[in-house]
Amino acid sequence: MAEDNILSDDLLRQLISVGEVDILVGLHTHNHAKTIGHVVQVIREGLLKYFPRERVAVLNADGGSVDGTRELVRAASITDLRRENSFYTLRTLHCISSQYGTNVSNGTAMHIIAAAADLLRARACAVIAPESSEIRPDWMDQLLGPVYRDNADFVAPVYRRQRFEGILVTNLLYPVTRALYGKSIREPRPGEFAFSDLLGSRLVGHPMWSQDAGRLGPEVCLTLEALAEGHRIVQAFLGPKGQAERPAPDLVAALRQTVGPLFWSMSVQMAWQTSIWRGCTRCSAPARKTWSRC
Amino acid sequence: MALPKVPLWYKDAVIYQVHVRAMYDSNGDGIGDFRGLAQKLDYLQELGISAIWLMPFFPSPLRDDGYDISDYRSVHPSYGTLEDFQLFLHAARDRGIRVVIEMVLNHTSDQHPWFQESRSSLNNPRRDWYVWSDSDTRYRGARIIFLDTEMSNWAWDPISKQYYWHRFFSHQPDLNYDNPAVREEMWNVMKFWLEMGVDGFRLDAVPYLFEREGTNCENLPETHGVIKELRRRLDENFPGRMLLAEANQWPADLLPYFGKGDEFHMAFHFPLMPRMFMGLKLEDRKPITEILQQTPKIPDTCQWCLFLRNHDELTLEMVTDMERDYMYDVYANEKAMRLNLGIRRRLAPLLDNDRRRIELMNGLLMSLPGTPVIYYGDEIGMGDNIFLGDRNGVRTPMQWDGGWNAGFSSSDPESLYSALIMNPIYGYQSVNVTSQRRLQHSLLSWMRRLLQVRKSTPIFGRGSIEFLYPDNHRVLAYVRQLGEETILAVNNLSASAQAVELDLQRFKGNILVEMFGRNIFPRIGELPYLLTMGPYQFYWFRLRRI
Repeated sequence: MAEDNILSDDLLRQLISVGEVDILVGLHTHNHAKTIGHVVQVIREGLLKYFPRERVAVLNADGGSVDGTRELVRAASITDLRRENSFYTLRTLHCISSQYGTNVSNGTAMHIIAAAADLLRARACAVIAPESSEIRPDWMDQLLGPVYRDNADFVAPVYRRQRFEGILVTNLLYPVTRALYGKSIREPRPGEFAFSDLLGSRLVGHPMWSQDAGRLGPEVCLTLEALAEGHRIVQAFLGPKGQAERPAPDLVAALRQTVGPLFWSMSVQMAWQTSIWRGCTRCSAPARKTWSRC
Repeated sequence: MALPKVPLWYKDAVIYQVHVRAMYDSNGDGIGDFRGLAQKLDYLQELGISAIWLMPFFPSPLRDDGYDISDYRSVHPSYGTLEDFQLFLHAARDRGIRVVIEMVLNHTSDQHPWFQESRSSLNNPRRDWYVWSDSDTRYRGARIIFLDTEMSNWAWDPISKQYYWHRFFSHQPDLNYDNPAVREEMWNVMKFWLEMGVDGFRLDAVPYLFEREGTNCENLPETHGVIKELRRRLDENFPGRMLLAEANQWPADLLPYFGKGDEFHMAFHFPLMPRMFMGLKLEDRKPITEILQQTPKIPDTCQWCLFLRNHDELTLEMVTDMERDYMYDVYANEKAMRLNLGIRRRLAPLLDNDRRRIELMNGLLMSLPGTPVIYYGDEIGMGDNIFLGDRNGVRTPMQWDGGWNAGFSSSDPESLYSALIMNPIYGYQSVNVTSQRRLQHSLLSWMRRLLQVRKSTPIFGRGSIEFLYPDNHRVLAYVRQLGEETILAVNNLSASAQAVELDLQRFKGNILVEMFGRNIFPRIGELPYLLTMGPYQFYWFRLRRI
């Protein structure tokens, strides 16, 4: 593998086989065998239902799973050798999976997904959390539709949350983001989101990947990047945010994944911030669907 | 001159489909004829085809372009006489070209004397030669084939005051094959032409010969009884002649038409054709490989007949609704291009006159397993006229040169049987045989070379096929084998350059020799064989171990 190349030879070979796509869906996994099978099936169903003619692919950036996660993803491919008997597809649907290393890193996975989307010239790329137990096929339409059809650059989710769920997001990230950036993004650290080729191409060479902020909380950096650079942002209501049981992260780690990227982004976007305060602009991002909070 | 007796000659053939009236007019009446066609046999021999399939040339009111026959034992006066036909036949044989003619078994014209007699009274001896009914409610399971023009498979006859059955146009009443006299007479008709020397028949509309209540009136077991009998008599009396089935059915439903090698010699692979176009547009081999995976093995003496286009609309009957919608959207965005669940366009306009795609599709046609049929004019990239009504837009006069009437006829242009194609892209001034003959790199010259390479080995017509499934789904690759000989065909279905790695390990040690330029490529080793391909490019490699 060439130095300074985040795409392994194995992944590159798989990307060559996939070729240019219209839509890419990315998954970051690490030992998610319990949930990934269902998630990929639903993604596949959504893609085939809402984008039946488009060239689509699913890319799994895996952090070294030992429970068969990668094989489960690959098994969802629909090719001329691996047919799906329950429904018909016009096209091949590649579900590719590659291990990026053994140090699990959200940032590395995101960077790979963004780079792959850029290489494959995907017009729209969605990232889905591998433990999304509430995922539905129409999430594909809600996340990717605005980007693919309506020229949005970034689609952030809106979830129906339990009152005390996501405290850091609802009580810190959201209000600070609103105050500083002037836009009401309910989920500044989205588990599921989508971005356009325009935004994606900016991400590939972004300095955040070499920083802790980008490695630990790329979703926050991405959201704030979209805000700061004036990209067209849409929010999509995805319903309840459920996820499979996982041990709660410790507070320090949680802060590093949320607050750290927030302040890092603020520091690099100082010029934009200054202009905001000078101009006193106030606007809110248009919500694609109405949302509510329990 | 008798043609050499080659067993299973149809497996090695390249067939040229032509309508005699479209080819060349020798007497200046604006309509092509047999004398004219005979004059163009040198061109066909030069092209490299080995058999001609003639569309119906029998006397007919021509309300369905000759498929409505009013006399099975003669030649339409516009096309000449029986003697002219015989002269043409001999001239073809002198050039080593076999002749296959059309035989419409299922129905006649309503102007045929048989039908005129049948309808004249309920007691006429020929009454039972057609299918009559007091009501139009029988055989409800049968679909209507010509959806754009027919509302029912029954038509009311005001003369005999009953309904008659017709699966096609209402002026084409179906013959009643439950009547032994009908079966006997149709054999006699075939025998008439066989004795004259034709090499075979394309039997039109064979799935529809019988009707039975509670069925869809297609592919009924009785049909196979008739075909077996015809075949038995053919083999007994005229060995070496060929029967080609026109049966627009799924591959599994087509298999019975081969019987155990005792029914048809060949059958058109209808479901493959639209999927070739689909695979090209999708840039994905999946539609093509899937339909061929579903294609059953046929008896060793039998053969699939492959084609890209023909005189009919590009039929979308044997595809799913999703596929049909897709095909309409990408290949027939104007409603005028659509007819009867199909698309009435020629090959070149379907492919946007893209030379690379035209070559690729012809390359697939010539290398996939089966006997290829070239529709007249497609070898020079002729265009079409969707405004001519029915399917006449793909049946315009052959374009021989850029001069008077495209060199087709010396008559007044207004008297031609059909308007010429005249637009700046496909018009006869730009697309014609004379111009392309002068150019070494014209489509015509390329087609001649393609046929030459195909005929250099029997493998394409007789060999097995095994698909390779490289990860790159835009590349369709397969191996053809016959005896010790192996050919690798690799096709890039994409508009962009592609890299593909092929698993050729079991052929390790072989050198690849590209068949058109005869240049050598690297030897196959342990690693996957890497090929890079330009847009719509294809390779045929002969494997050699030295």
